[in-house]
Amino acid sequence: MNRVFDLSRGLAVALAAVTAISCGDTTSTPPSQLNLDRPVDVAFACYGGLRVTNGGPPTPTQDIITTAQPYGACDARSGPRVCVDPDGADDIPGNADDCPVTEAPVPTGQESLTAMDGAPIPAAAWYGFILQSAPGTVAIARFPTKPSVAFTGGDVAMLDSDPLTPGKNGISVGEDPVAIVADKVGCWQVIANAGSCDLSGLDVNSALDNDPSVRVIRIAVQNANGQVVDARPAAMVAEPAAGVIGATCSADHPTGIVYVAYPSCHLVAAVDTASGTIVGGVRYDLAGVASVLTAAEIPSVSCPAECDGGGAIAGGVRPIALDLEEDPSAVPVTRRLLIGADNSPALTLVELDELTSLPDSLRPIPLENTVTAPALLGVTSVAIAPQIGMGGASGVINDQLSTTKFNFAYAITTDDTIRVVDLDGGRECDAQVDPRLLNDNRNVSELSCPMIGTPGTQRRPGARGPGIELFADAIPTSIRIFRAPELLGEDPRLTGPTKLIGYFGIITAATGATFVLNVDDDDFADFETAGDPLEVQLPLVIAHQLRDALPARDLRATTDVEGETKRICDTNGPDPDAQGGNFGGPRATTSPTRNVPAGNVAAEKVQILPGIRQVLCEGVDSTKPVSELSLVAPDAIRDFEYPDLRALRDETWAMTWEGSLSTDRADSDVDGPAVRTSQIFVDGGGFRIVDQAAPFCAAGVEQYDIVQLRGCDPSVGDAECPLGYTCFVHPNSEVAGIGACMLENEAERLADACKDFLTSQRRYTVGRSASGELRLLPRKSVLRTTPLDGCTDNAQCEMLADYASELTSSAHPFNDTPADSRTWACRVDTERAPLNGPGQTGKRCLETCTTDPASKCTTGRVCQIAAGQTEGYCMEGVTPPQACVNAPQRYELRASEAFTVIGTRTGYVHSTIRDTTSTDKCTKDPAGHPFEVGRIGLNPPPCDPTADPRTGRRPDGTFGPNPCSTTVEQTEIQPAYANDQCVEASPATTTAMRQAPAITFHNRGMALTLVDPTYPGDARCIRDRMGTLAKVPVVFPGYQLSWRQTGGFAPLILPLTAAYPVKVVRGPTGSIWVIDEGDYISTSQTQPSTRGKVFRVEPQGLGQINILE
Amino acid sequence: MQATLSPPVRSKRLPMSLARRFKMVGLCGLLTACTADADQVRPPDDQLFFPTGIVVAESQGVAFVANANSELRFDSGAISVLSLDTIDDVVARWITSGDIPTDCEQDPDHRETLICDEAQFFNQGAGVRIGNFATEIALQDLGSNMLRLVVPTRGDPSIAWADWDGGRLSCNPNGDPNALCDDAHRLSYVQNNADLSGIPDEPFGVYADSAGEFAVVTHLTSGAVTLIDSPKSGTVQVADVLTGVFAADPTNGLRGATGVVGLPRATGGIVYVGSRSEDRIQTFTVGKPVNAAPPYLLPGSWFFLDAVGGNTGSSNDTRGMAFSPDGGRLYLVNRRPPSVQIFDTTTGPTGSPQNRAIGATDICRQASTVAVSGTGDAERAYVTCFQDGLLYVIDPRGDVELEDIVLVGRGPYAVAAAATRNKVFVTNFLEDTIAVLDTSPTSSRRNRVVLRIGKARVL
Repeated sequence: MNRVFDLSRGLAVALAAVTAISCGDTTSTPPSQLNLDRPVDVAFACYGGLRVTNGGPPTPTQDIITTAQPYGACDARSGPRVCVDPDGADDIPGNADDCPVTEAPVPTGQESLTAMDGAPIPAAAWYGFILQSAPGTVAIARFPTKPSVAFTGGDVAMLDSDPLTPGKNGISVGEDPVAIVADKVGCWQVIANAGSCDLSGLDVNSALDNDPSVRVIRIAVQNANGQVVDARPAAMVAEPAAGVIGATCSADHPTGIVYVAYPSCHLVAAVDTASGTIVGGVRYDLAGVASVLTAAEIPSVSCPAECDGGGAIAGGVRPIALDLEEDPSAVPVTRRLLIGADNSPALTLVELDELTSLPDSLRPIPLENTVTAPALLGVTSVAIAPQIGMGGASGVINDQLSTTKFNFAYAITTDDTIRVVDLDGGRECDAQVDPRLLNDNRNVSELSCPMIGTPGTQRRPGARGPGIELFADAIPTSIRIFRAPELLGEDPRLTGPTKLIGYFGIITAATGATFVLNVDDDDFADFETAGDPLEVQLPLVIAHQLRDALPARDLRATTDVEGETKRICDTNGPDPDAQGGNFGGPRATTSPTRNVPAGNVAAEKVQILPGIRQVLCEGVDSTKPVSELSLVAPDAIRDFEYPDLRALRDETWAMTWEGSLSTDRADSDVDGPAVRTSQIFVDGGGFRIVDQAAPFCAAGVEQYDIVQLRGCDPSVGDAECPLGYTCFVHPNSEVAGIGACMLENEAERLADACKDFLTSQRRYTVGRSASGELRLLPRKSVLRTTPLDGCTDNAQCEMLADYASELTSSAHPFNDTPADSRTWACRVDTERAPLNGPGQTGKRCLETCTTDPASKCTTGRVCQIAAGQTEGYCMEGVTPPQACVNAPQRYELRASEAFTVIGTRTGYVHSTIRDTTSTDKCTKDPAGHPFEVGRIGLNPPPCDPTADPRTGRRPDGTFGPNPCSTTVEQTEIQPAYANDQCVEASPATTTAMRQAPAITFHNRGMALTLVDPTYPGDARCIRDRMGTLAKVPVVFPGYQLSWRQTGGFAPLILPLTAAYPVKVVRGPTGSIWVIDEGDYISTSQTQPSTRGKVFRVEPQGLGQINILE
Repeated sequence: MQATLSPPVRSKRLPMSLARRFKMVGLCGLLTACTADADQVRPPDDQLFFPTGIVVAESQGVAFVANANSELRFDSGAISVLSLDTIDDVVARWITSGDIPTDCEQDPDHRETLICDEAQFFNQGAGVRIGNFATEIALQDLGSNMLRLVVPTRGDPSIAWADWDGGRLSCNPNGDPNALCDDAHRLSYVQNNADLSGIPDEPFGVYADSAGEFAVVTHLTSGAVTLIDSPKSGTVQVADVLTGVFAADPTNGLRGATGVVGLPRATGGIVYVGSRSEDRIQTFTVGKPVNAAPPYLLPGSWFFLDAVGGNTGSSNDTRGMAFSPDGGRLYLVNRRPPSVQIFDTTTGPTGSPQNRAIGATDICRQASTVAVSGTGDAERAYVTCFQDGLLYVIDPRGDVELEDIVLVGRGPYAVAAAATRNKVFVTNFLEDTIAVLDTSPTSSRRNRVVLRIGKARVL
């Protein structure tokens, strides 16, 4: 952003403005034929030729008519083709060689009797009735009755209900319709209208026959006493399809029961569609308790007249989400209605009578409330899954064989997660259990529905609650569970994520993405394999996890040698940017890079700096040290380091010494701007940065952190200053590229008063962090090689200063003559974190100065001597007069004396919150997970040997420290010297292993080991490690280890071009129908704009998609 | 053709204003038809002429309407004052007893709607005249029943302001009714100093912060943001201009700042600014230096609109923005894809607004503005659809439902709500009317146009 003093003006404003009035728009959109307009729902019908048997045996003389017919008539015709076998051989269906002629199966009674002089039966087809909310119409699509796997791109076509009007037209059915269902016998479609508070019936025969007239009837919902229920419906479901194949559609009204949700009436009513009469239902009382309407209540049930303005709407539970499923495979057969309300953290499960579909009983299933009062958790969509036999990995659905059966339901809640409940058990499952805790669990039942709140089912760090979270915080809009059966005969599909056998969910999201959910994958293992830790990525295979899209997660770096698989080491694994896509497990794409700012350490000595642990790789191509993060690291180490693939993303990680807490750039919004702008006040309240947006606890600022004032960049003039200010650079400043915004008429006058401030490095210590205010302290210059446990005396500091100077030299120690010209004193520094632990001295080596003009501080430090003293300290920043900082101040927030661990997508992870009990102070969340951490100091507590190294948990359930100090085996290439004059040996290096001081660090998705936080120094030659320095760090601000992490979780997303998908519907033959309500304005010449789309997806081949728009 | 007269003398004229003035004079000299005198081209104070912005001051019983004069029929635009009590009275009698006052008639096409000549609803002599092509109006509460209106006008460009004393607006010390705002009330230059820079072109959106005593204006074609220092007493002036807030759209090169709104806070709000070219919301606070220098804009954090659309969660061309009355929700109207997006702006555990997308719904194309009315279960968002002549009513509860689609008139531009009066007002730019909707939850005409102020201009 720039502030400008542009004097130019727009010309010809008046007429230009007429044409450019804001309400106009210059966006051009390509013309396109659009058949849909805000589709919100779809229902299906079967229509075509029918022999009228009325359920009796077929005869050649029976009438053949073209009519709507029960769903099962087309379902039967959509089955696998039957081999026509004139020679009587035992042929294999689907094999053209064995069976050259096939024919479609037909339902019982509809067989061809032409050989008996019967009339031929015309074909029947499926029809989709697509409800469109904005125009209040139903559009119709047609698709053939054939096996789902035989579908091709053009198989689903839109029909035109009014050929005399241009375009493909729908049928007007009502005002603001919200749901459409097929009636029980398939002869009518029933529509719920929110705009007119009634139902519409659409006669399928009249809609599909050749007569242009269409029959639509309005059905007023009423109680048995004849009083109209004039409430707005929000959802509707119908009882299961039934009806006799061979019967005609004789009724002049729909048949069967529909359940309609009336949120403002706190009622879900069972409505007889024939008459519109309420014949049963579920009602929530004022306390939110649901009950089945009694026989006495049903005749007089009433609601506020929302569509006629009568009656006040009382508060209460607002049911808006329904699903009704019959599971004929369950024993006994279940017919269940599930109700969700947008203001109630509970589902209501209603058991329906198998014959009447009326409520028998109900029970609430509470959901964990994860939102903060006064907000209340609610449910916006529900889906019931069939009974599933969990477990199994044979590639065959094992519902019959499995002894672990579950009947799950899924609910989208207002915390933007998807909750899972076990309907039979009546409890919620936890879909966010930390997989570290499940690593050794082989109990399919426990893994299928983990208990909430037990020690063994603690959630993964950062989980918002027990619900399934979509990728990148997408907002779920709808979910449906479907069964993907195995293919008969040889399965031509590639093994991998797109091969679906078992039960899966489809979840639509507001982002336009459509995710796939694992419920029970019968083609893959269900738990970890003890002997092969990489074979199964547990976070991806257990139930209720988003499905991963990357194949070959168990990939190893191997080669084939004479028929044997052998390990190799000279590889970084698959190219993640390859055109064919990424595959393989999580890994760093290269060894971590050391980014070393110039002037701090000689190139020959960079390896003494802390690094990521290396391990030995022994392959047929080479034996060498490799990063523990690499693909070629041993399997057990890789398994340990990436314990939760779901929490791991593809991104670049950076560990930066005293790095920034925030990473946002122009194209990212992860954790706040790297350079912020606020006001500074210097007054009775101290020296403070104040920001009304209260960003500091969110940034994770801690006491003793660093505030680096950035001033302004004089190379861009005054662009970084407000109008009337100039970017002033003090003539004595030796700090390059930093000025200060000052009023144009004050800068010169204040130059002297602000000299110390303007010529310093302007680094400050955070004395106190609150959400909207940081109190700053002037920061002394501290020797970077000050021992971690503190210095002992001035002489030690002078010696360590010389050592620090020596680090910048390329000479070997035996012939190096470093000399640090500055003066250092070993004293307590109250502006840094205290060193008061066991064995610590409490003191640091501080840079000092005197009144002697020859006394100099490091560049960017200014000497500050208290009145009456002759010695003072070199300061990185001093408290300025208020007049020096009246302008906006740009600054960075940095960690002090620690590495920050930041991912470009994950950002800086912390558990800092605002203390609301007494002050505005930033504090650690006592409920925060110990793995919610993003900084590594060099002197953390020792690791607790009793704590599990994978989970960090002690036997008593508490956590050991994270990060923590330990010792590990480090493999590295070391220099080899021929003599004590440091002459290179031949070969010049050796591969060696040693026990190295280390720090283990866990975060949400990975665990890593930082080795050599300190360096003992060298005796004669560079990196001989023969020095005797104790816990002396050699890092410096800006030192950074970075690596690109790939192979992180990549959700499987259906290849749909949806703008705003709102609903998933299970279609005929197991097909998936995604309703995209969204209006997509194209900017491409090749892709037209739309007013919504409908997609049909084949679960046995996710790439087979039919599109209607 | 009618001439557009130049404003009164400025302390220092804009070069273009002079050039245009000379052209007009020359043109008038050549055209015999150009004989209108000042009174003939003075805008009436009882008519609507291309109404754009509208705000409601319920406590004062008035609504303020900006007339953009987009046809340049008059010598200036205007801010007119509507009496809410008169509107309530006419509507109440119409609904309860079917009374049709003089100069009113029942809409033959929409029987629930009463169409009235607008003159009876205006507080005549209470308005002021401003520049042409006004866009929106922002309201600043000055206390003691005093209000201040801030109105960007694209024609000059300038930012007009006028104070309301409870009975009339004033923006000119001469005290004339319906007076043209003087230079001090038409902000064109930084710090009102003609030697400093002028404000950027195309001032568009505006937000006024009563507690913070400032206003922020966005610029449609430059992506700039202008800060107005608006103390209750003291000099109102352009205090800061920040350009380059938003990058240009890579596909068409357009850039621009559009919607602007402030998070209600007792100590001065966090200002949220949207863009036509980026899928990003930029926040600002306002710094007030202790040395009494003019305030300045402090850019804060930003967030991307990645919760909706395009299969990758990318939406842009933000237009209307509004907060719920308690500041807990931010409503954004985006044109690509057409959607209303709702963000949770409650204070999170860290003390800062959460700014997290929590819901969305598909809406019409080319939506313009949004207003929010009601609290709790009654909270609704109203979105104007300029192209389709519709008003979308959004229920934010649960999964964010579209509650109603209402035909309001040609070219609905701005919408404002009078929550306690259960009414919503929509300016219809292309037909010179204001549609008044009944939003009472117990009314049989809920979300229906019950009164149309003004008779639709014949195309």
